[in-house]
Amino acid sequence: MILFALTLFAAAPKAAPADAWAEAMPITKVETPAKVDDQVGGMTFLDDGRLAVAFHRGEVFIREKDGTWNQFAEGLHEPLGIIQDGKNALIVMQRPELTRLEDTTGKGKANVYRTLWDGFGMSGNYHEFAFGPARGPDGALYVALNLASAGDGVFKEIRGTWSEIGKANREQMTAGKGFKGALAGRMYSRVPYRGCVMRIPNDGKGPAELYATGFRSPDGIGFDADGRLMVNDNQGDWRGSSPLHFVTKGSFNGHPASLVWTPGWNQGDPLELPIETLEKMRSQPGGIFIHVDLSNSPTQPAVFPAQWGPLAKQVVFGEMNVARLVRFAGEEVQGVYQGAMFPFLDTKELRNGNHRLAFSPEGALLVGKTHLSWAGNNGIVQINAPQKLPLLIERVHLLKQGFEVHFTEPVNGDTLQPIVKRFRYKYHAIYGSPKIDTDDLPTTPSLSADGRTLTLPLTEIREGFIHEIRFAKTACGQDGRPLLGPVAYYQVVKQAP
Amino acid sequence: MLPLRWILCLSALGFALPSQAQDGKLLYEQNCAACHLPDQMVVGPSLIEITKLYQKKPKEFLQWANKPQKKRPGVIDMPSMAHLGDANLLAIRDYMIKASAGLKEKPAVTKDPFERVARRPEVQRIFMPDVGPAAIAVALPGDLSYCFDAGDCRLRTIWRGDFINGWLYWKSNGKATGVIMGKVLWHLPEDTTLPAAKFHGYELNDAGIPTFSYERQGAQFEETIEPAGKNLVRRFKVTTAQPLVLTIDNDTQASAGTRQGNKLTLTPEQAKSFTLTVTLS
Ligand code: HEC
Repeated sequence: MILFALTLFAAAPKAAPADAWAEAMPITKVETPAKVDDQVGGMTFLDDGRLAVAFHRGEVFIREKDGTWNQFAEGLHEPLGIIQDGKNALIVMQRPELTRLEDTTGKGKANVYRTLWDGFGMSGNYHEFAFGPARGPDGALYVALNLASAGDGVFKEIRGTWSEIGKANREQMTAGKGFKGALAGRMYSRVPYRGCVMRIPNDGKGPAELYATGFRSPDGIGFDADGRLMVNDNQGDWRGSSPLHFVTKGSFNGHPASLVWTPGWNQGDPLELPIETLEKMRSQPGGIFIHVDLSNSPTQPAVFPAQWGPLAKQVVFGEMNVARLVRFAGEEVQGVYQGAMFPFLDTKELRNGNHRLAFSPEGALLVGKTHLSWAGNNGIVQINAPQKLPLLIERVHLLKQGFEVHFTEPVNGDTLQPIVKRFRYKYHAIYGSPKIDTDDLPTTPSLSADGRTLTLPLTEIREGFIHEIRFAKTACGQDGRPLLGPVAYYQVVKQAP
Repeated sequence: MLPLRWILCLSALGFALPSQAQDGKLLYEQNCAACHLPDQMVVGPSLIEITKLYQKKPKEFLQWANKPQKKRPGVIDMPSMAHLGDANLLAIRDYMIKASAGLKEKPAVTKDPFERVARRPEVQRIFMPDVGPAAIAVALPGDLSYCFDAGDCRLRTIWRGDFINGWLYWKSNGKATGVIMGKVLWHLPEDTTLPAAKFHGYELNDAGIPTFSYERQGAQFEETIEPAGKNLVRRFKVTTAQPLVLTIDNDTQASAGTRQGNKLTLTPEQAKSFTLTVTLS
């Protein structure tokens, strides 16, 4: 290891221009079908390269290679995910059910709307969104069910068995004048499997099984390049900042409300359990979307294809509130998957509302937008795989005592000026959390001879903490190109052995 | 071993500390602009309106931003901005006042920009009034529409007139039901004594009319609902090993089976194909 001796020509550092991201990866608009409320609920590329999109009001359209749109289905109830299922069929998750849409007449339009699975409860509460499906390497489909919100009550008539567990009884939970929102719990699960991830094997034919509990508003569900199930969640009660969970069977992922659906549950109202008990039960997120700094409402994950060079197999997530995407690069440490998050395409030109992500066969990233009256947007944008990536932090590797930061190209060490901090969030019923236990961590960095790996020795690594590694806004490569997204947030679940 | 110039650079970085006020414009764009436009109510009120309310009330502005209340009907809850800190919030307030100066309020969008007449027949799943949450609204050719409940697998509501207006639901996040745009002629209330049913979906015929498939107590139902003059006819094909017993109301006539009061009993053979006609005014 040589200390900075190799920075041969250090161009005077200047901050990256405001639109450096958009310059490196131009963002273009994709025309959406005319007269359609183009908030995107689901988006996927078909085997033949055409794009299938499910929109807010229940239409499914297919975009031909020449850019024309043909309607495939309509009338769905808030579809929030779509995948292909064979030649003439798509599977969508809509608010009430997992549905297979099939064209059996060859007219290019689905005539069969087959219910694959509707064995979950609906209280009628607006917040009970249904996300997915994600197809696992095991051929099963995985869906995630949103909790209800105390922003409103439930319908008089519900689907599924009412759970009596909770401070308010059914009458007090019913929307209208009698609704006792204060007793509801900020987010609640009074009908089956709200807040759970469900597994529906055999391509959705079932039988469905409860896979994991502990979610709040899990809009992003997908598999990574190695077949790990990723589910993210939205900051709120029990979510100090939005987490990314690598979900295993039977795990409890932090939000207590759905624990009531654990088979044999006999511990009463999970919201009343001591925090220490819940803390022991919960599995830790492998990554955290830092509130405000990275993402307030993370959305669908998508895996970078080969066309993205060093980013291939990493994951990119959408974000609703801010004009930005988030990138994640993970690693296995002592049997636990964890890693670092980075800002990606952090440019106003992207605009916000980034909800559904899909890579085309050519490697272009398509981003479909929505808002559902919250902060957000509408329409679809496209970002082609760049000929040459901008200079980025490629990944961060945890050492026994410190971190190794890998860059996509040689960096100018003099310009980096790394600052390392750690902090964490509270685990509690209150909505969100400030950063707590923040500490600056002194380090003496050293750059590898090839200029691509920076080692940051630290005296101590703490489990359960986010370690923030921030470089100067003027950090640049040896060719003078700016380092884009000059910050990494590594969530240490397990220390390196 | 760290080069000296590196150490010097650290102090020149200018990362603002959280307690210091940052640039109000940038903070507004990062934290508020998604919901507040200068001159139009979108998710939240315009900066013109906010300025009117809080130009002379910084303390109250902070109160709101730290702990927003529910004030206007039909809008979402504003999330708390307490994490920004008072100094930053006041910088945002200054910017909001500046940015709205001299602007005129544009009217908020109050009408569905995608409003259209029903393509009859048309199927639309959406929350509907007075039924379960898994509702399916269907517009039939002519002037009849109905609501089939995929939860209890029953025809629940029939109306004459236009179809539905879903704008209240679609413009927000689901906190409203579709509105029936006609006169309700027939409706079944919830029946908690009904044995559970399993919904299997629907298939559209060439004309676009759905046939629902479902199962109750081992009997496999296929039901197609169509207009018949001013009435509505429900065509059934039921596969069952046992006699089929259905509860029907006074406005409903069966093409087969034995009726005793509101109870209709069909043999497995009769159940294979029969109709129920709902007489409508
Ligand atoms: C996710 C959307 C959203 C964001 C982001 C947001 N607001 Fe709001 N804001 C609202 C909504 C909705 C209302 C109206 C709430 C109501 O009347 O019930 C509102 C109302 C207000 C009002 C008017 C209060 C009154 O007395 O009528 C102020 C002031 C305000 N917001 C300030 C801010 C500031 C400052 C920020 C950024 C730091 C911000 N808002 C960010 C949604 C948002």
